[in-house]
Amino acid sequence: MFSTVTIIFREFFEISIILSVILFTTKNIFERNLYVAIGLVFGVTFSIFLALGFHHLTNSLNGFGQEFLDVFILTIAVLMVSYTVIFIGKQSKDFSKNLSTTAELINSGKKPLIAISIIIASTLIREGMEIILFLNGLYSSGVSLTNMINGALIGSIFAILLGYFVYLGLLKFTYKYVFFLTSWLLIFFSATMASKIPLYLASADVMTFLNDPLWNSSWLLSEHSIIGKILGVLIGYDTDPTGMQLIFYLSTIAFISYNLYSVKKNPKIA
Amino acid sequence: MKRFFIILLFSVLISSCEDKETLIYQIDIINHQFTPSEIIVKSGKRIKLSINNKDETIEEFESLDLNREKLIPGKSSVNIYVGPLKPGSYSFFGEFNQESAQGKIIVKEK
Repeated sequence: MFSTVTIIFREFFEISIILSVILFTTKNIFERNLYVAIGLVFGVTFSIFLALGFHHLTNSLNGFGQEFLDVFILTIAVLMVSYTVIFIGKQSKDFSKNLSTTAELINSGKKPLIAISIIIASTLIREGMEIILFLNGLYSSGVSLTNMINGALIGSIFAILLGYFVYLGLLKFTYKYVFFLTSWLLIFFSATMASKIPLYLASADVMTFLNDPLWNSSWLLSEHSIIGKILGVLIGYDTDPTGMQLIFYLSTIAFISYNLYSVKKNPKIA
Repeated sequence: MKRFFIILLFSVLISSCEDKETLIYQIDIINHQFTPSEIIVKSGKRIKLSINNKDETIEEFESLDLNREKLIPGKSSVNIYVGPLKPGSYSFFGEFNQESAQGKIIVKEK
């Protein structure tokens, strides 16, 4: 049962931290809980469907169905996070230098909120599929259902607690810096996901241009360490990124921050 | 921005036309262990790992050193491309059975 706990914890860990970041950065948005719930429900449902058809998925696209699915999901998530940051950032700037208030966001419409659902669903699908397949594998290898459920519960509770502490830690930041923190947490999250795309493509022997690692920073901080893993989720820390990963990472940051911070020539008057 | 995407598209097309020499290595998963658990490869070559999961249960091939992860359903095979690699030792593991599923790729000079 202990190995179940550790594996479930590790898989849930990433989901938990990402959800904490998303929940923190959207906490002032009206009705976001509804859209979070929609994202969770769709995410879990799609994960189950994909787990059921996993054999077909794996064999599809020349045996690289998994890789292409991951690329597809990551691309959508990058676009949705970018859209969320830019849209909400623009709303804040159009009205005043202060944070968007509840009223202002209601006025601007609910269209961007589905982006939150999509971001959450995409995270759940990527990681959730693995968890479902792992548990299914355990069950069919004869592990008792009670052991499995207990192990899964304990592992996920620990992961949720960790995410909760991350969330609490983020809340400690003063009001003045929250907009900055919100935008940049999401920008780094988007860049992190973008930087994984070249890895899946290279694994499938597609776009192997600039595929060599540029450096190795494992002497500084190992990817195997806890801090290394947390930074891996938050800012995409990688001990040996390839040139193409760096391009995707920096382009995403450049693209979002350019759109976020550029000043319109004729600003709308509120 | 447009130019960036055009260059990116060209690089995708060019790299997929390239006739790279790829070395193929087969690794089986038997009773939650990699067989062989150690393979020695030449540096600077593109490598295709053909992982054949002979167990009934699903396994996840993962390597932080190689930056690769892929799920392998029971009784099936998958391919994973890595490299070209610099000389050194790159470890990999089966995420769902880490106590037993450990391996490494040792890369030697040509």
